[in-house]
Amino acid sequence: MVGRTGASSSRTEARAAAPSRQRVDELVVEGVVKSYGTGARGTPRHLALAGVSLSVSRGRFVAVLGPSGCGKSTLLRLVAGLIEPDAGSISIFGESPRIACARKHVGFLAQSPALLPWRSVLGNVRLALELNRRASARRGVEPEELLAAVGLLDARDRYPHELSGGMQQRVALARAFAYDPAVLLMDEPFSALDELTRRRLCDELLALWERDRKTVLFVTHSVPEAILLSDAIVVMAGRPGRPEAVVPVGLPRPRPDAIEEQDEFHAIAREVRAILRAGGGAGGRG
Amino acid sequence: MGAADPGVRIGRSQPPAGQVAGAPAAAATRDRLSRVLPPLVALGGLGALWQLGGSRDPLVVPPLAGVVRALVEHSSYFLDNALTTLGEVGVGLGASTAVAFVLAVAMCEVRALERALMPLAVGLNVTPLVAVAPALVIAFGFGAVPKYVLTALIVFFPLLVNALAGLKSVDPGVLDLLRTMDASRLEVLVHLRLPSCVPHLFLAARVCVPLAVVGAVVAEFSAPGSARGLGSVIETAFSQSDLTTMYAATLVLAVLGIALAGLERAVEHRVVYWRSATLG
Repeated sequence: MVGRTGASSSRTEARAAAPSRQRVDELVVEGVVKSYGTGARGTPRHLALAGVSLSVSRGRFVAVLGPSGCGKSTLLRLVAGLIEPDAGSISIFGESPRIACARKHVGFLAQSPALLPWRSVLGNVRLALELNRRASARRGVEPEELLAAVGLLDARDRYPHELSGGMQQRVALARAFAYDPAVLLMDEPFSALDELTRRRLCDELLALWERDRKTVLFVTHSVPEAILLSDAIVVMAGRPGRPEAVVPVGLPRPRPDAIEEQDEFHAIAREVRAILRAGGGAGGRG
Repeated sequence: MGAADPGVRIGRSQPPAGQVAGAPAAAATRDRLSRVLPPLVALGGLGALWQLGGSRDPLVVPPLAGVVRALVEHSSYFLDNALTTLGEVGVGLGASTAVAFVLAVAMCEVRALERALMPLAVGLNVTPLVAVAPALVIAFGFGAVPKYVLTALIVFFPLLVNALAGLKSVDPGVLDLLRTMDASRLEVLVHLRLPSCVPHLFLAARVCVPLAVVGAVVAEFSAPGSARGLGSVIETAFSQSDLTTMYAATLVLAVLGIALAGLERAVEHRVVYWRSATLG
């Protein structure tokens, strides 16, 4: 089962059918509602997510695609435990986001690389190991090896301010994999980068992901990026944010360089854009 | 123009050898010269004006030549007193930095503490502390202690406010990341807040170094009997209407201030290496 979605009301039976079974092999979002603003003094509450349900099987790479303001970043921050839902529940392989974070199961990568400027490239990657003793004890992946995978081994002793934006984000990518989480939450990680750099980072991300196929939620507003990376695309519509459809991406892996030229790629892109146009009536341009 | 012609032409050529490599060295020399020369000219002009004015009316401004002669003839006297003042600045500034920093960490971690102490700190800041100097002399005697205390008090507020701002103004992206990594408060403090605070402390030091000199000198004014430090030198010279010594001591203070500011920049450049690209 990949990226099953639905409005909260339509999924009541499913929830009733399996009330207590620990869904340890799924990331489950159930009827989550989130709004911003206090509602006091006449300021209207902005409804970011209106009853979102979504489940992702372990080991899947799922893209969450939608126009700006459709609540996709909010969804990711909820799963990361950075904010609390107004209603509904979230379970990461049977654990609440807070517990999952405490067990070092949640990796997070945002648009800004969030590097520590006083630490070298290698020092920044090592931070992940310092904060996750389990990953450092396992010694499965060496930071140097991860830096080599993103082409930054020669830059390991340099400092973030000496690097380009693309290189900084590569460091963040290496750090995310060094942390060795069970689920990797990525919030438009490449959207600040130019087209060519972005494409190269996608390839590097895929190469890293192929090693142990972590569960990934990848928020993006780029249709080609979503298709290039994911097993399935959750298309969201805005105002209020809700999942509109799941589009499976049946392209074989590893995906070749010329995959964007293939007819299947274009067919998926057409399908996704049609859903975006239909669903985004008020809010967005796909 | 045919249909296939895009209307664009491109071409490539090698830059002439040697021309590219030769240019930067000469430019760097010119650049350095253009940076050093103007302040030297301005300084020279000011010195000339001083000498000219002093020669016309030595009872208002002593001629520069006389001041320089006094500095050379009594160099060990001025140096000795300058070192005393420098020591007061160092101890006062150091102690104040340590206390302000520890307090800022406590205030950052415990909200109630910040709410309780911030009004007091603001109150301390709006009090003209130089007015406290005589009281400090009565309380702590004619030794070095009242000088340390006044210097520390005068620089305390900017240090505290900047340290607190530094501890709080952390990269929200890193804070989010550390939260998803379930970093403890101690880990957030060690990995994020303390290093973020360092540049702010240096920012405070830029203001506080000259301020500390003011504090030390004012404290010395208030206890001239001890006859130590440049402030005491000026006070004693004033009582003897020794205009030349007063100006000489002031000149030493100015040089001391410039040297301390330069030292601050140099240390900052080394310690805050990650900001070198942005702050120059």
